[in-house]
Amino acid sequence: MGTLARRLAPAAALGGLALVIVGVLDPALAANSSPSAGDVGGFVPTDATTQQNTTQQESPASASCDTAETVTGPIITTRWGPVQVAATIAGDTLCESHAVVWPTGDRQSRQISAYAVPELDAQAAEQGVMLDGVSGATYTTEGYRESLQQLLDSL
Amino acid sequence: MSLSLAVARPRHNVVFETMGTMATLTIASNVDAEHAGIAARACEASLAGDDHRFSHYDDRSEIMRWLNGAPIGVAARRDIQVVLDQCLLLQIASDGVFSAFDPATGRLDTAGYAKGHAIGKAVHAVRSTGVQDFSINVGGDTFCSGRPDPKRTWRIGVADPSRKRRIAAVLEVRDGAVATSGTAERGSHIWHRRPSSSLLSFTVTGPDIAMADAYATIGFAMGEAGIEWVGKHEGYSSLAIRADGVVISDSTGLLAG
Repeated sequence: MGTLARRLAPAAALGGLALVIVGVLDPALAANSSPSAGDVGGFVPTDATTQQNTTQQESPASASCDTAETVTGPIITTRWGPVQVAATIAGDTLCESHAVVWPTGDRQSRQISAYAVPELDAQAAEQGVMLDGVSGATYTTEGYRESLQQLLDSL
Repeated sequence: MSLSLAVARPRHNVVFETMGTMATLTIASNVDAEHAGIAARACEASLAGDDHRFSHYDDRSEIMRWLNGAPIGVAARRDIQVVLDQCLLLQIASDGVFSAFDPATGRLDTAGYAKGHAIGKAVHAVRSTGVQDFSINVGGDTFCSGRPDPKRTWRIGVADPSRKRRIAAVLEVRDGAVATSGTAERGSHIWHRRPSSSLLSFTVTGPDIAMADAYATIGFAMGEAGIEWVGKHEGYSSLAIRADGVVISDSTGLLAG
């Protein structure tokens, strides 16, 4: 939990954001949550997470951030709009957290905050977060064939 | 709420080639097939028309003929004038970071604005057919209109510039644009990139696709200072991905209320 507090300290500077994240990212919630897809209370592990769970059961002593699992929380509706947070958790330690969905179109605050890039690969995108499209630096027709957008279009 | 849903697949998805890249028109599933087909043809025709109007790679395009002194139609001239005016305004607003002229050759290249301009016209073309719930993605620049279904808003992933087929963030968008500029960008209209910039990509959301596209180009060239610059424009927010993998944005600041 000490790790959790340390990680949340920068978020506290953002005021309301900290409240949102604390509510979502309580590791106890994550630990107690069932891995079923319909669970609203805590994180819903992806298939990849489930596999890592199995690995950790084989070597319970190595709950370090190197072997942490990435889980994606439910989409929370705030008065500013929807927020979804992804977190990397090893045992009861929160290694990293970041918003993967947040409201757009704000015009009040210009505070800059930093997040680690979420470990959401194409598989997670397919299984954990609904996507309608992908925005990226312009690709050519050739580049499109290797893009995630092409993958989405092919499904 | 289920989070293990597959990638959202609305019923109508039309993929076609335009402007040297690929375009995807996604129409909400509550639109019937006939109307979706009409909307798709309107979208494709609008983009094809603007490809023919603004291509700098085709000597027969209207802008190239105009530059070579050949006669072109009144509508084409007016449209080209609009793009030139906007490019000049953007050059002024960005202290010269944005420019419609290649500094190496001095030649006009409106690609930095014309593509977003064309997407904006395609949005109008689709809406004029009566379809209001759709998204258009042309080479990674996206406009979302309405909703994919009544229960949710459009979700656009921001590509991770350093890892293929991965996303760095997801944005929820309703009636707005998501445009991204970065090192992987085709063409070279980022001419004045500041050497201090350590960004891999720069994404802008806002109400107008042409402005969002241009602001993304400018923001990327400015580096992290671009986030503040973009934020001065009403309704526009940005998200940048640094070379060290850190994502910075002004959007989360909203949560501080």
